[in-house]
Amino acid sequence: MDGRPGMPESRPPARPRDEHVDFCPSAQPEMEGALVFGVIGGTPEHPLVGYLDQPQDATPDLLALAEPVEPTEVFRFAAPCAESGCQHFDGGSCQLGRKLVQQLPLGVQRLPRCRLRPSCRWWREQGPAACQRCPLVVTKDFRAGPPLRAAADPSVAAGESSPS
Amino acid sequence: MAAARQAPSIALEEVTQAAFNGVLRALDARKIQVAKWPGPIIVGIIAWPQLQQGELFREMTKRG
Repeated sequence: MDGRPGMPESRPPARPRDEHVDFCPSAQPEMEGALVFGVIGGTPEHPLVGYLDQPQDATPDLLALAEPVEPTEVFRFAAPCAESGCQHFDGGSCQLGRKLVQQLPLGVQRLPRCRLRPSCRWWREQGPAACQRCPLVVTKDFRAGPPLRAAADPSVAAGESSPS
Repeated sequence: MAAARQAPSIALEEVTQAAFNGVLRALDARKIQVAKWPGPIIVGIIAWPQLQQGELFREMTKRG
């Protein structure tokens, strides 16, 4: 790196290590193998994720850039899908990705230039419709409206209408 | 309108500035009206409660 103040220590760009592993695109930074692949921009009312040209390991230096808020309010993290360890996994697919496609409006028309896509579970299962809504997702979201709240709630099944 | 937006790409040297802007956005988002916004949610992985303690969850997410 260039020694810029506040920039994380120089290291090779991280990538999904195994193309056959599905990555969750809304993971937590403490998960094993977590990568930062996006930064949440836009406004509180209309967030819009920007996608890193080179996803980075979720190092303490990088996470510190989010202080004083939590990293999940600022960054988007990817990590190997926990599958049966996650309440959104129904045994075969990710219900969160499915519900986001069903319940969120289109966020962008053109697919983001996302380096995670080849390994992304939402992409593999939902296709372009997931990528067109992914930029609207804030992992820890204080301003989420009813559709996003319903999608994020594992107790709300896919296809159910969002609670009022 | 929203669909006309385009998600930006962020070069490595832009990460610090983007993160700073993201922190400002997040601080704004925390200025919530409780009646309208009942609190934060997690849009993403939610471990089963029995896995949230200890190392089991991390072990389950290890790959490669």
